[in-house]
Amino acid sequence: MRQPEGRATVHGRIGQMGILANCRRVPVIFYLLGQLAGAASITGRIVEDHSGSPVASASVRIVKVGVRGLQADLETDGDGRFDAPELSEGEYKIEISKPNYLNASVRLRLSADETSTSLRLIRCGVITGHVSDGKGQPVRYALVLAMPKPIGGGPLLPDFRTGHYTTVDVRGNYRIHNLPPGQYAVVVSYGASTFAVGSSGSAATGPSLGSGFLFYPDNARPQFLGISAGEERRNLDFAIQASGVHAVSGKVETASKDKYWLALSRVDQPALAVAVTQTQDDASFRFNGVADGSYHLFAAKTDGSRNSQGGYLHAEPLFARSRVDVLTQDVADLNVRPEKGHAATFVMRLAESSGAKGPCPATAQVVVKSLEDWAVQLERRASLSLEKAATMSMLAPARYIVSVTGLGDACYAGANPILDLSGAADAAPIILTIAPAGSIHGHLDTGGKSSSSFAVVLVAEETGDDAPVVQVSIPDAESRFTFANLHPGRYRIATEPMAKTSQSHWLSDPARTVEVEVHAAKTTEVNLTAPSGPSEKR
Amino acid sequence: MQQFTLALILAVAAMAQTSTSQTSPATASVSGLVRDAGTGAPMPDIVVSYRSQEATTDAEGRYTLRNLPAGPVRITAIGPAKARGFGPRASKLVTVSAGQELGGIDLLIRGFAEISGRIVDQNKEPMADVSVRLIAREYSLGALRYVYAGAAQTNDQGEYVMNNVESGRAYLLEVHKGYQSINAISESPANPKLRRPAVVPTYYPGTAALEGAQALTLNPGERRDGVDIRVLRTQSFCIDGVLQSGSGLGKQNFGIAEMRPHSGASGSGAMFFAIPGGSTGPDGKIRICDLHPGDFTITVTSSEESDTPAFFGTAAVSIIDQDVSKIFVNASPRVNVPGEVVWEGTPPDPPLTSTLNINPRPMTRAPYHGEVRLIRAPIPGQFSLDTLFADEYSLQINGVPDSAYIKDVAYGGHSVLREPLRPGTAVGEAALRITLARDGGRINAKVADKENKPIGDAQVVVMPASVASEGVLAAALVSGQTDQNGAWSTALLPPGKYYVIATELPVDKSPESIGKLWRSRNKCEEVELGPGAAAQVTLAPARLE
Repeated sequence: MRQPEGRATVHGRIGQMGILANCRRVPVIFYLLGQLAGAASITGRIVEDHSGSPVASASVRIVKVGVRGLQADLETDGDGRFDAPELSEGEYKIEISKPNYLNASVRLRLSADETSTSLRLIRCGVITGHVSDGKGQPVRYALVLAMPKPIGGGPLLPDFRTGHYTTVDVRGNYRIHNLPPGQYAVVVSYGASTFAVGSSGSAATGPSLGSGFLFYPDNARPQFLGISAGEERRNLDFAIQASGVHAVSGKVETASKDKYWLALSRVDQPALAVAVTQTQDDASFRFNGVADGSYHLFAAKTDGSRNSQGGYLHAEPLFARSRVDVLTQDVADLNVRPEKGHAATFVMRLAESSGAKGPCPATAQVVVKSLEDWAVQLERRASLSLEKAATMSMLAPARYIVSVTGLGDACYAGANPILDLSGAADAAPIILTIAPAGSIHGHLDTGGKSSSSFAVVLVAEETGDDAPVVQVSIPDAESRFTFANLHPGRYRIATEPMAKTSQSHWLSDPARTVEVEVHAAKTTEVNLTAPSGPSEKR
Repeated sequence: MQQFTLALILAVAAMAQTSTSQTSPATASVSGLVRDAGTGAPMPDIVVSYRSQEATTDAEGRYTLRNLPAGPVRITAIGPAKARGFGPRASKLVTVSAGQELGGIDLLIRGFAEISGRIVDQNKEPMADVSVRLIAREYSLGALRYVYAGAAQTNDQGEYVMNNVESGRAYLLEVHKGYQSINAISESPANPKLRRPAVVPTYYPGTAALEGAQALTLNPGERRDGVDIRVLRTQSFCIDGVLQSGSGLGKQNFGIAEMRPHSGASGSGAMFFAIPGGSTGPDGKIRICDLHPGDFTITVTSSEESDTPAFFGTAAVSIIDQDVSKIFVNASPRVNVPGEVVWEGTPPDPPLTSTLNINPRPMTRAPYHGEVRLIRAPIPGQFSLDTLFADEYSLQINGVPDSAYIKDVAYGGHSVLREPLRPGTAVGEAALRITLARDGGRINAKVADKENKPIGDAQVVVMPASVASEGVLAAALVSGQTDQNGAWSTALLPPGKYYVIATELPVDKSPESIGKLWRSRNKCEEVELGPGAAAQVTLAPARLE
């Protein structure tokens, strides 16, 4: 095997072993720069990536680049086929979507003939199982969540997107779907999670079971399960053992009839509340069914209303946090003293190496999400302008993860910092750096073969064993290929004969990849050599 | 303002929750069994209650409820799933005397039923993540309404399970796309032939017409599987136009939904769905596509920081066979409805100190924050409803003193006693007048069988003789449950002629029930109620068909 020119070849494994896997809601982007003999019409067939079966009833939306509105809004038939006749020449973008599949997007240039294309949709995964108590009885109304593995070793956060959580039914069964391929921890929350309306500390499940959560396979070491495209992972069962449960009660120091929501969250896993309750008219509160352990006690003043994500904060909220240890007996007479919230300041800056602002916008939005479950809605947003400090006040004294949104496709933010307001004082200003995206231009030495019979595959490697983001480009007549709008970082790149890729997987041999570094606002040049000889074994 | 909550179920059961402060020395007690209506088996761990008094059934299903005051007492048992607040319930009226220990009062709980099935599209592909909804048909304030009463979501296989279905009630089943956020200007192609067919809300067993839908009535504890629906598709249409608030342009929030069925209260609960919608740009323009032929309601509210809009408006749009253009909706500000409570005839002396409690609620949507609050009106006296919009409201009036009845409620001179209140539609004097009168009478009914044995738990229905239609009948009738002695008394009624009938089956506001009552008027006892009279009626239970 000849070594490609340019960078050294790096041998290694790629995440899910070559399966086109996408753990983020970023559509897989295909660049077809070929001169397809195309008409002002396009027909296509959509198949499932992992099985090759046709995908019927998929939504196909065809947009001409630069022209507002849809040129065609279609659906695939029972055999996965669609047909858009009478289109004019030009550059088009086709968006394909279907519930329980990842969205896909294709860019192609149509010239005067009929174009035919075949595309693969990645089907999401499913997790299903049974939840019972120590006596084998179904634990109805418990909530099962699939929590995606955080990027970069960050903290675990519950995910309440459609399908990623579900309630256990009357027979004790649950089924979670809509899971993009990736790694997930599965947890069952019973009794009094934030999400269970009407919990109020009294267990919706049997009183002897108490209130809490259980990771699969156990709380001490939650396991991250790899879910691949179209996989149905069965029999992920939970057996909730009733442990000694106690009551935790006390009073909030408040003069008027204010409503407070309180949550008990474990110190070692504060993202999921173990018990949730509200104050009574006399400002007293009581949690029932709490197992032994060390907890944070969070309290926040609400306006009395709530939705499934928690209570709505009062217009002038007050907060309290303290530690409660439950050791083999009830804890009574806790005194909660609420105080005003804290302020935090954010500044958005361009990364030093990136030079000019380029495609980065002058304004964006900072989003602050709590890492701790307080049973109230703590997420906050604020507008950000480059180099201008933005302040958020009345924030709960919690730990938050900070991110930037609204940067568009061509600009990216660095790693998400943690804002820790759990101490007494306001925190130091948080600097958020953004940088224009980079790109890769390259040339493929095909050894004389037609360039359109090869695919160039780019895999992002943001962290160690996180599922990669995959992009595919097909070289043009001059054997050139491009990947644009890339997040700065490390990537691997390889080529594949197109004939092989249309069978099932995009990548078959991770050993033939080349490591590439993408820098902000810069273009990396890569030269590749197409594999010659007979097709390798997978 | 956009609401992202999917469904909110409120229990609107008219149970007074104030604790009793009776201090009669010899209190009564009631005991008996709680059993499952389907199997007859005794049910342990069921809470039986009267106001704040509670007792839990033991392992044999026995309960004893103590500390009850003398007089009529309504006891309620709530079945398992009580922890979620909405278990199936059984309720019984008993009349006890001081110191009495009344036994043999058994309660039968009709357990919830379950409906499940699979939803597929025209390619026989399973439809994931769509909403399957229960619809109750009920007469409400004079009109037959189709109101949402339950929901379930399909999984990736198109399968759904609808739990907590009340047994013994007829429901329709609908598949709906569910909530989505809509862009104000749709990208759908201008040529209708290039558009994907629109999803039509489809009713079991597979029709797009509400009237052709098949009703399902389940038995207690029944699990009905295989209730599958193949969703229909039609040509998709667009509507376009301009939305405004208070005659000024600007960003508006809008929602669009089919006119029927709609959210609201039915039976003993209520269900509210978020309506698909979004926000316009500063020019207020909309182009909404992917619509099927049918009748829609567009709701427009001014867009503000807070949850409470300053302007609200609705418009009806009908799509028949082509796109509809140049729609214009202007949202209006709140309508002030001044009101008064007056007496007809001589008012009581000394005057009453209690208040009438007026609770206006929107009929087809959840109220906005701050839109509804309980108004306490002195009797007689003035009051003001100043938070309402130009929409339909039901006025729930409570606290009518025992010695009086509501003779009429008029808005702008037009009676709205059996109709929704539509603020802003009054011609002339735009005030709400509630007229109370004292010249009513009472009907005391006793239900017994042929051997003169009293029949408890029978439903007695009292209907005014002169009602023009089933809708008015549903709004005008009064009914109640007999106690263990077969006795039930009405509140004070206007004088006039009434038909009284008793039945052992439950009676509700569904078209089936009201139709049966309407057709049974010739089987009823006729009662002529004079002012101040107390008429006694003895009835045997009749069979209604």
